Amino acid sequence: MSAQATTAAGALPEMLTSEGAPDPCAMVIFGASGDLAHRMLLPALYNLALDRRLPPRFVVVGFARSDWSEKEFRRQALESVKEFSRRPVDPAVWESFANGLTYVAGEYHDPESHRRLASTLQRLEQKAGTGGNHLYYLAVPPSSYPLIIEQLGHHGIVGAHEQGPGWSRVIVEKPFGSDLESARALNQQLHSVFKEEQVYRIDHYLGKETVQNILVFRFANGIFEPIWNRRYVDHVQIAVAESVGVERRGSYYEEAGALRDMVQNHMMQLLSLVAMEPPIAFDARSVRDEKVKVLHAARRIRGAEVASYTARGQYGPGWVAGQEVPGYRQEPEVPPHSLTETFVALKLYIDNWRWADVPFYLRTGKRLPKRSTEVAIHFKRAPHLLFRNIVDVPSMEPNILTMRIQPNEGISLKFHAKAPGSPIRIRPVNMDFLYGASFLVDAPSAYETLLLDALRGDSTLFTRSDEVEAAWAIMTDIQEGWNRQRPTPAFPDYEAGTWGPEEADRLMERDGRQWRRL
Amino acid sequence: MAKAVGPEQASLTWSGRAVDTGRIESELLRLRYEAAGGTRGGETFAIRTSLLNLVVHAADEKAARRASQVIAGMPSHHPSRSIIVVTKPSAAQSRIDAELSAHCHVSPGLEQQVCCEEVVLRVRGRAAEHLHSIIIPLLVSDLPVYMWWTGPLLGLTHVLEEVQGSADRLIADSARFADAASGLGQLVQLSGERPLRGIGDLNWDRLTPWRQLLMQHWQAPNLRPYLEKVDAVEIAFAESGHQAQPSQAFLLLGWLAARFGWNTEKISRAGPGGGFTIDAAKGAVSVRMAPAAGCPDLEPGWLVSVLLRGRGKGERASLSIGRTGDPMHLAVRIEEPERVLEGRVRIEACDEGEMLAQELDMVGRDLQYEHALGRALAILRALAGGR
Repeated sequence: MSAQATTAAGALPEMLTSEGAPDPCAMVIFGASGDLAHRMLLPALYNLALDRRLPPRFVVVGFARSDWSEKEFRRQALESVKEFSRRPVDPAVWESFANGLTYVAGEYHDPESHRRLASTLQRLEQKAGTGGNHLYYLAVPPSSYPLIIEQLGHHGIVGAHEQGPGWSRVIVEKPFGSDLESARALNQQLHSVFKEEQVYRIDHYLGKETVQNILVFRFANGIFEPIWNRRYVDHVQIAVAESVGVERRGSYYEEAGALRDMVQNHMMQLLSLVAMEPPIAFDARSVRDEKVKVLHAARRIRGAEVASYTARGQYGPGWVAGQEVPGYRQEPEVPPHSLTETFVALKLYIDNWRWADVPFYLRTGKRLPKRSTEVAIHFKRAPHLLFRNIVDVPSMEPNILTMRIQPNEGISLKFHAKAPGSPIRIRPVNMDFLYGASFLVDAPSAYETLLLDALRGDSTLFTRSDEVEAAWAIMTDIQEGWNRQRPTPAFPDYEAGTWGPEEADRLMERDGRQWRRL
Repeated sequence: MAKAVGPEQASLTWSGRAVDTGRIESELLRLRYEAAGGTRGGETFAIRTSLLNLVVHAADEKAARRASQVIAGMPSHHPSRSIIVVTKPSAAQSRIDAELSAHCHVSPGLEQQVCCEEVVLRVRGRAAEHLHSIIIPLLVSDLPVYMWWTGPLLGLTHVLEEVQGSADRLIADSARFADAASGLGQLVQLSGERPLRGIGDLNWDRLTPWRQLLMQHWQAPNLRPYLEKVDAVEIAFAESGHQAQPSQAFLLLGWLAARFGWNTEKISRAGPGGGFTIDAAKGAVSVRMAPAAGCPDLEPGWLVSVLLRGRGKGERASLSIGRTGDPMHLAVRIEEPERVLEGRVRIEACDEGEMLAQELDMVGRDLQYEHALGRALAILRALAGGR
């Protein structure tokens, strides 16, 4: 953000610095004409500008293949902000923000294009005083990552340090590889140009307030940690349910499937945060050290074990929210005999002292009846059922602590209470804590949080290379098991608008349990 | 398309035409915050307690309004989300209209509040045949789902099938069934289906004071020797103008049959008077069940009187309970060989809100009702077969 923008918003640069404002910087968005920049990045940056959170000398260089002028890029950016910003456009702030927007049209593999990028960065450094600090954002399809990384290494625009004058950082979007081997290859390539400390692998789930709140809830309170273990917890359910289909991402999704698109990243992050040991400090290294230990402790599901520990499915035509919707195979860019899974259920064990023999049930799917992401800790039943003669024991549900990520962010605890009157009647009650206050103040989007962290050089909420590889190791075993499974699955096997295939219910029934009603 | 009203006191409303469920959910959330904040001068409550979801099927607008009034009468008992659904599958265009309201009540002198949300959905066209896709997204997660069926079951089974998969407990009102035998038959069938964990009937709740009185007197030492061997039962039910549907009377008879262990498989008609006999271990029980005219204050089919007559030690005794003309009282008359006792007892008004509240207090199965229902149906079927 330029100095004028700061003044327009009414704050002094000194104050920002004292609050830990980021260093001056030029941010390069590769794929600046694409969907991610349009929907997420530019609106997030503008909102940071509105909140006076951007550094006083901040410029954005858009780089993409679209043959746009600088003027066109600014016009497109304004459209993005108008359509997707969580707050309306303030003309004075917009003008200052837009003055810092520059555009370079070029091909990702083309050295000449990157030379122009390098000279633009040098020019901006002189003009805006960005101090040689560069933040690169790879908002492009994964196939373009290697091309860009290689070119970045050749043009002397990547500083050697993560912090200090002339720092360089790179933000890499998901998907980070498509299996263990490709993730390793991508890590190697990144490390040929950047040090690991300079690499920020983004998973926008970690930018969500309620995901971060899992850490606060667990480790800022004294009463939960003592019962957060195998002695008191019966099992854990983690659900990421989506009511949408693949929409316009058919060709991407066809290659990815639910396992790669959702489980490898978002769900493994949720699992790590819920199951991790207390870190010794709230900093990038300590938190990520503990997260990766969880993934290393996850029991691998190999070969024929996929039949007992996993279930997959694909949606057929159906009805969602009162609308008739097509099946996956009828979606654009999806082959009519596709065997790509749109639903996954897993049973995972974390083989350590805390979680031995406690199953973690994960499920995610598209075209389920409603959108809901949550982590539910199911505690063991009371050891002695004092009221067994008074109430119907099967209807006595155990205590459940639920952390809802979206929608209706909050935490709820289910317990039993006596209904008023005589004779004694017991019924479950939900006590719900809603993030009412933060909801009403309009919390920053996940991208705002994470972009600001990257600008500040705080990688706590980004994924480290060993974390990514550990998660891929688990997924790759499962994918290989599926590839060998015969007969091939009889897709589609669940109707859009239902809770997934029967196979997923059987996974729970075999253990005498059932999926929570989301 | 949509307008927000308020905040006024602790009640807020919103309505929208041709909306989607995501919009409904976000508006509900906003209303809940605003309603909660409004009760305490703008301070936002971050905690709420919830007990249940209540899904109401209303056959038409009139039924929907009535259901809404009944629910509004009991919020202090049940912090809940109610979803009232009115369907019009024959409409050409598929569309969902919604009316939302949130009410929060703070108990006087207490720091407690109870919040209720109500959603009225009008679903037209083909969407009405896929109600589960509209209702499930609106349910509060992991709370029991009660389904209140306000109309006759027959002819609307597809709606029930749509929704029952997500309901824990079905609450019907057998007084509103078009035909007793087929309606009760459907309830028996549903009571065995999963995931339903229970079935309730407001018509059964209307019998509560009658059953309590019968039990109290039957168990009293003076009368018990006679009523151990009941040999005659007479039940009268209201019939004002047009023919009444007697499911309430049959439920009471079914309950008696279950309590006394009568064999409802063995029924024979006894002559032209409309009576019949039920086989019992201690001899046949003659039953007379008849409509009673001249009860303008009662809904057709509601109980007017019941009489049990029994024999013990070679002598006879009887217990009869009947209406008095005053809806708040029942008359009890006991005839023993040595004496005749008469008295009046006070009963609660047959308020639908109270009965619904009773049903919502039930978590598991109501086995007394299920047994009575099964026997009532057996008797109805045996009588139909013997015609």
